[in-house]
Amino acid sequence: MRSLLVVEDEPAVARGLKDAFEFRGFTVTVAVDGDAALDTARDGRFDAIILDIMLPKRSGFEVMETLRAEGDTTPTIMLTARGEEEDRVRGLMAGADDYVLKPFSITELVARVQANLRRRDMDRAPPVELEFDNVAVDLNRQVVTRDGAPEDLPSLETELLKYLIRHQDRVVSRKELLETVWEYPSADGVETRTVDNYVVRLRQKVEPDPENPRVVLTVRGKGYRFGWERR
Amino acid sequence: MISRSGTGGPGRLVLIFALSVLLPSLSLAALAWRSVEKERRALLAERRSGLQRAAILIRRELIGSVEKMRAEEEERPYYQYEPFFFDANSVGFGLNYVKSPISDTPPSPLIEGYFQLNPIGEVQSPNDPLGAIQSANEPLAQSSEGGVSVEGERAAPGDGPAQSGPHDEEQPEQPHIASEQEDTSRTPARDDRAAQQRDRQIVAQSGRTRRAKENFERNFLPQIKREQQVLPRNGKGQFLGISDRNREQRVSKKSVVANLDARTNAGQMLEGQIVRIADDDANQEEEIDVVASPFLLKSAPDGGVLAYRYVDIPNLNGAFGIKSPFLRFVQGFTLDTAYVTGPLFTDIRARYLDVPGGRAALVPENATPPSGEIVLEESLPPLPGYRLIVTDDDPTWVANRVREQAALFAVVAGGLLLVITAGLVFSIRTVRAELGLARRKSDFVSAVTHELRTPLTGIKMYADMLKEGWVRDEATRSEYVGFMAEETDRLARLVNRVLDFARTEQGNRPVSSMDLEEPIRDVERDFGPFIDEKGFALEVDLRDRRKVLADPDAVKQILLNLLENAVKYARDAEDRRITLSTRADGAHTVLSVADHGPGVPEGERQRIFSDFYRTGEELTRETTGAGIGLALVKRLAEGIGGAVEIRENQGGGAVFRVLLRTA
Repeated sequence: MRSLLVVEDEPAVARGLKDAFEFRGFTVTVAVDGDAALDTARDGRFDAIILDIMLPKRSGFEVMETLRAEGDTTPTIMLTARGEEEDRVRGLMAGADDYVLKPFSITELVARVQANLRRRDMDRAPPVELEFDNVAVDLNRQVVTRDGAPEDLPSLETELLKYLIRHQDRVVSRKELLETVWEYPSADGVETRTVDNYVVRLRQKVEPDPENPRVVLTVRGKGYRFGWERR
Repeated sequence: MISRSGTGGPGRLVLIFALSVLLPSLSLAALAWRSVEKERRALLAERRSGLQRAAILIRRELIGSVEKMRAEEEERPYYQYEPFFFDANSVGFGLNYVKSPISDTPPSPLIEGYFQLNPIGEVQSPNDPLGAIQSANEPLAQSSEGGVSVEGERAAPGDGPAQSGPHDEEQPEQPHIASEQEDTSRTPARDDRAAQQRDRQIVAQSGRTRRAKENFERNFLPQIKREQQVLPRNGKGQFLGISDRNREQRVSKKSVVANLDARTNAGQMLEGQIVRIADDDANQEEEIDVVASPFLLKSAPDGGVLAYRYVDIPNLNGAFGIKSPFLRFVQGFTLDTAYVTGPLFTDIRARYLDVPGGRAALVPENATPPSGEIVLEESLPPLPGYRLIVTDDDPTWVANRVREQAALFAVVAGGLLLVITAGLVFSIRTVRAELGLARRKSDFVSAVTHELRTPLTGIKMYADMLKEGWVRDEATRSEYVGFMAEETDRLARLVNRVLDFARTEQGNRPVSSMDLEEPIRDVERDFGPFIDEKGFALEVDLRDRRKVLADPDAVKQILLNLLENAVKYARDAEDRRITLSTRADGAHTVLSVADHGPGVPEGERQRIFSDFYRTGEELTRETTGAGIGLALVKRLAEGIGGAVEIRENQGGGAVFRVLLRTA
């Protein structure tokens, strides 16, 4: 399930966006001012952000610039009643991926969000064939070849590896993995040892030296990170 | 609060000020300094040249006056200097004494007194009030050594032959100096006239002549005697007297027969004339040659100027046709330096010296020069012993003029600077005001756009969701319809306010006497639910009121806008009361709307009534609106002859007071 952060100070608009995107299968979080938007975006994990420009405390432009400066590459669609060319350019230059003018068609907005997510997914798609020293991985065929000996890579481990590679710029929590790879509607209360067990299996398959992992790294207390670097 | 500067911030303002004021000021100051410096140099040069020009003219005029007088004196026949006499030994001819015509009154005011020194050392001063001949009783040698005072040795008037005295005994051949008493050829009538003339002379010239004589005796006599000492003295020389009648005749027939260059015994060049005088008297006809040198000028150590000449008469025929030896006289006059350095100089100076603070003075050589900066100092050949000194008694004159001019420049430059600064400040303020208004208009358009689009967004979004069937249940569907209705109301309010603002022109509106209760109750009825919905409590107090001159519609619009403003800005207040009250206050009735919100900062209390003015930054503004509500209140209040003001509410918040005229 995709997660979405809606930053909008108008209660009626925020409520409509939340309902519409949730209806379309998103998990929606709402922030009502610029500061709250930054705090929420930093803490949470969102696949996309819908960001109003005119916000109390901190403008949408400023929020966008700050997030991009901090390395956040979450697809962001600016949503505003300001339709001047100057504003559109400024928003895009600040790092927005798209710009939608109020009043908008909610179906079009949902479509634009999904389009941006697809584009991001494609950008982050891992290569088909990987090589970790003496281990070669073919993600399409789901085959791992260690020292010339081929071996099947199960689907869940394959998806786990793909997700970690796709988000190799950050640490991925176990909860996130459960919600995305395992597609649990809500990972709250789910035993995260499941993730750990699958990570162990994955390491057995793809790590050149499973005792000293270099492909899937554990970040204590937070989750896992794809960490392969050729020596 | 709007913090953007219409001119780009203080840095740019400083730059504009520097470029617009400081640079021109510095350029102006540089030009002024250059001009003042140029003026200073010009004034200084003009002053110096003026003083020098005056000095040249004064000098020229002074020298010219003295030279003219000297030239005139050159023309004077030698015999006019002396009272002619016959030698006592010239037996048979009587002793004629003819008084010099210039002895009465000197022809020039420059001349103080004449004198003549004859070969035997006798000083003859035709200006002597007594007309007597002064005898130098002592030998010339003694005179030269001892500076003999002639004053005490002068023969008393009427002494006649007694003048010879011991001198005659030692030098019996000396010519006898005749006196009037000895002039036996005179008639009684003539004697009377001479006596009268002498008396007048005494009265008119006593002081001046005595001074001249004293000056001559003190300063020049010893010197002249020393020079005369080397003259070929011939005690036996005789001088042929010429009778009065004959002299007149001779003068008429005198003729210049030759120019003569001769030298005094002191080696001084004498350029003179040989004058031949013919005596027409058949019995006394004879010719003599006279050589007169030009006048020489000599100064005395303690003052005074002497003009003197040598008169030589070689080959003088003595009595009975005997040739007498060479005869030399020294004759001349003392210059009236008191006159030259006094009235004459004052007159000349007044004509030429017109430089303020300039001074010209004739100063004796050994005298202290006058104070002041000396511009020119020159000797004056016709006035030996004197210097012409021109001084600048006011050296600060130029500096003072320059200071005055600099002060004038400073005043003008200051005024100009003030005008430029005032103009610049005015321009900047105008530009800023225009930019502010333009920005507020732009913000207004942006705000209205935002305010219009936001409810439209909600309406369209919920309509789309309903249309697409993105509704979980019926309750949600009803909720969406409610949202759409609210947003529609909001849109309508905004449109109405904008239209009201657009329709409400600035200017007077028709007013009538009215009670405030009715419009207030209408507003309470219409707007009360909205206030309640927002969680506020409206308290109305109309006990203290009078009838006012107003327009009911205007009053209602004023109240609606003030109440909406209170709801908007006091949304986070703990005290949710909004008080609407009236109070009669003299000629006015005050209509107040008080809230307990954050209030309005002192610096913004005037600006919030401006058209399109909104507090805070547009992008981060926490309230909705287009900046026309309070501007509309002001227009309406003023349109009905009232006013609006804002004060701080006791206990926090703002009180908007509308002052209405009491009917």
